[in-house]
Amino acid sequence: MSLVVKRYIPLAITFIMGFIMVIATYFLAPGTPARDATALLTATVDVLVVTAGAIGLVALLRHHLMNINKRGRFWQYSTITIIAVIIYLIIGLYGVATHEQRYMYASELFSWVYSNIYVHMDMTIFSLLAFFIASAAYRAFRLRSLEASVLLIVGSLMLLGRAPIGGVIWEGFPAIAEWLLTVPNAAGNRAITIGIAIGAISLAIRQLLGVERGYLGPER
Amino acid sequence: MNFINEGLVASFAMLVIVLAEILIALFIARGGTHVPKIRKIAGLEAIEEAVGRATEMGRPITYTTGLGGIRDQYYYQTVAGLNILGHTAELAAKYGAKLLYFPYDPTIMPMAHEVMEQGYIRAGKQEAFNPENIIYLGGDQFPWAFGVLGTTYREQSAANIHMGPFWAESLILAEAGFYTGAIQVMGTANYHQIHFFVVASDYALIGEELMAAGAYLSKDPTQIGSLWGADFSKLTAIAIMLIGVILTAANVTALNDFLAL
Amino acid sequence: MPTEEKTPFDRRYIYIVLFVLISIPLLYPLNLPIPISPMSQDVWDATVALSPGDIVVHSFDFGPSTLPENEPQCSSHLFHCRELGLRVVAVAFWAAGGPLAHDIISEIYGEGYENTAAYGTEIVYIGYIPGAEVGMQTFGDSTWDAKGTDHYGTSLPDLALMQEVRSVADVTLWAEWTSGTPGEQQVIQFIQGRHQGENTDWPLVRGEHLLPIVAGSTAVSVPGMMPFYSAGQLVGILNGLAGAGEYEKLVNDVYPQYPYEQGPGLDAQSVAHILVILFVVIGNITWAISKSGGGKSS
Repeated sequence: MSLVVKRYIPLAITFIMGFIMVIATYFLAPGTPARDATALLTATVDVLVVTAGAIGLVALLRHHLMNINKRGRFWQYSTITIIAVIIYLIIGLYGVATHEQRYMYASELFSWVYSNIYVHMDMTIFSLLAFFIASAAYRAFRLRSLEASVLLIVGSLMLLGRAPIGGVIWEGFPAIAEWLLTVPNAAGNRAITIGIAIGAISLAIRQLLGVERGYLGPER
Repeated sequence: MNFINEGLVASFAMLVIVLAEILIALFIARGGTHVPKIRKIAGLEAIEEAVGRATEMGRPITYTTGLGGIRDQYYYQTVAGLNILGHTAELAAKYGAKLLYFPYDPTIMPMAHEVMEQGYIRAGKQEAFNPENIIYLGGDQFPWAFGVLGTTYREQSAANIHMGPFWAESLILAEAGFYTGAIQVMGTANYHQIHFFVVASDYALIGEELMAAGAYLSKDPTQIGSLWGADFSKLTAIAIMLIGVILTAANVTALNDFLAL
Repeated sequence: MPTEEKTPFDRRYIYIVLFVLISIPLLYPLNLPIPISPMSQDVWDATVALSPGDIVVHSFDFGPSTLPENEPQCSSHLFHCRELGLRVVAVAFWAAGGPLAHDIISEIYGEGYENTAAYGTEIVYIGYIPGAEVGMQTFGDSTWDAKGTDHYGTSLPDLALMQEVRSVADVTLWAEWTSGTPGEQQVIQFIQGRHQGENTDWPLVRGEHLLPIVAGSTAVSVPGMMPFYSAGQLVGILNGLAGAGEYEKLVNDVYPQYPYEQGPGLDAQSVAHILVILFVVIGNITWAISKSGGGKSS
């Protein structure tokens, strides 16, 4: 592929789209046809996302089929994944095809699987986080240095202040937790947010000008 | 009729100032008049150590760019993560280590493919690049996170590198790496997850360090110049805050009125 | 160099202790008193300040994983809105939030609420709007353009309530239930920021009329919300399970018919927090002992 197609056209598209978005945000009044046209432009991203979803499905199936074919490590799990993907896909498409609203979630069978299987599996995995937090707390919070000690004390105060038992032990804990959240936390958060915002603008400028283009791939 | 949309005058003024500062610094550095020195970022330096360790142990490197794609407002973190992926791929190719990358959003898969291949080309080992090492595990937060966790355990990864936007899965990934004994290098600009990375990983990139990675690793004066410019923007922000505090204390509302424009 | 040492015993012991001790208060509630934090009180105050007939948007932007934290937040607030005679437009900018929102609204407004007379006048559920930030921005600019029909296939212009809600300028309060992105920061950026000053009934914040936003989120995300709260961009926050419990208590005190209670969940949280502190203390003691052992392997 020529360098023009591979490099210069993507860079030109990046620059032009970035420029249009800045103009639209600051200079085109909401509700005007020109502003609506730019909103339509951003909405086309949905088309890209849906297409990429299909690519994702193919990539997922391909990876697991190859694992089964090679009898790779734990290939049995790949079988489960493929069966689950295919069954849920069929249920979804069947729901769209048979329901008068042509809407996946309106299908009772699809909703049943979602509410009774997916929801519970997702909740279970998220709740495992509590166990990871407990083991990480045991391991990582050490009085190694002054900074680590401050982190430990503040963490403990937050734990006591943000649960009812803290107020039962001493009524000052909730107030301390509230103060920690609204004053030192907000201050640190603002500093980090301002730094990140400026860093992101700096990165965006490098990309719009084509100075940073590592993400575009090889120049050949 | 206002030239600039209502409520965005101050925002536009700030954008112009920040743009000017970054562009001036960028062009000064490009012209060679002054190329600023950049401080060492331990997390980025540690990647080579992590890759080397994985090579010695004959075990793979696990790499993710978080839950970002190219369509959301966190894309800048994803792009920063991809920049570091390119660097890691180059090191992995150089040392002959196996690099496994797990994209979350299918929209970044083609970019990741290109970036990794470029890394292998830079190391002069294009033939060693295996696209099968880009493993898509699904675009849903916890199934993806547990897919990465499972693979980390099964493959016994020796290095765990996570760079990009992360949410509740950050500690899951960090714990997985800890229990395989992996060296862990992690970075995010998501404020609510930074603390997990700081506590649970060996090296953490905090906030803007992640965005600076591309420029840092490239050693390109033009890119480093833009970081220098961003420092001036931060000084401007600090100056505005100080002036704001003084004016507000003196009951002068001029700056507040301007910021509300 | 890795900075952490291995846990000296199988980590599963920690998991078992946590599991057993959390289960006890869930089975036998401790009924600890629930103090009301200022952030939760602010959500209540912002809601009771509205007049009957005012329009509230409920945005269900979370997935099943955080349902235990988010559901009591939005259920209690939705119930409160219904009791105050406020009209509700519900949306979801997360695909996973789409079916969850239907279930939650059905619990408050009754099963099959979409077929009642109240539907279209007191409550409308638009359903999932795709496009994340882009979808949010479109909805704020022009509600009809964000999605052609509601969750149940009715065209939005055919619903009486939606005739009055053409853009976010017609909304009196935005209730954001979130556990990630898009969430409260995107509402602030793409809706509140873009439409400031468009409705003079909105409260004045730094000289500008801003759409009031109340938010409920997982506790881990709340520290990131604080700058927006202290700047007045968020008028109140329900902070995780504790915030949910506090709002349920506020609602329960005024409306005893409110059907849910959060007591056991908060009791379990209390136990978990104390346990984590104990783990930290034990971890430090064992670390200190192993350190004083002068290089002996543990």
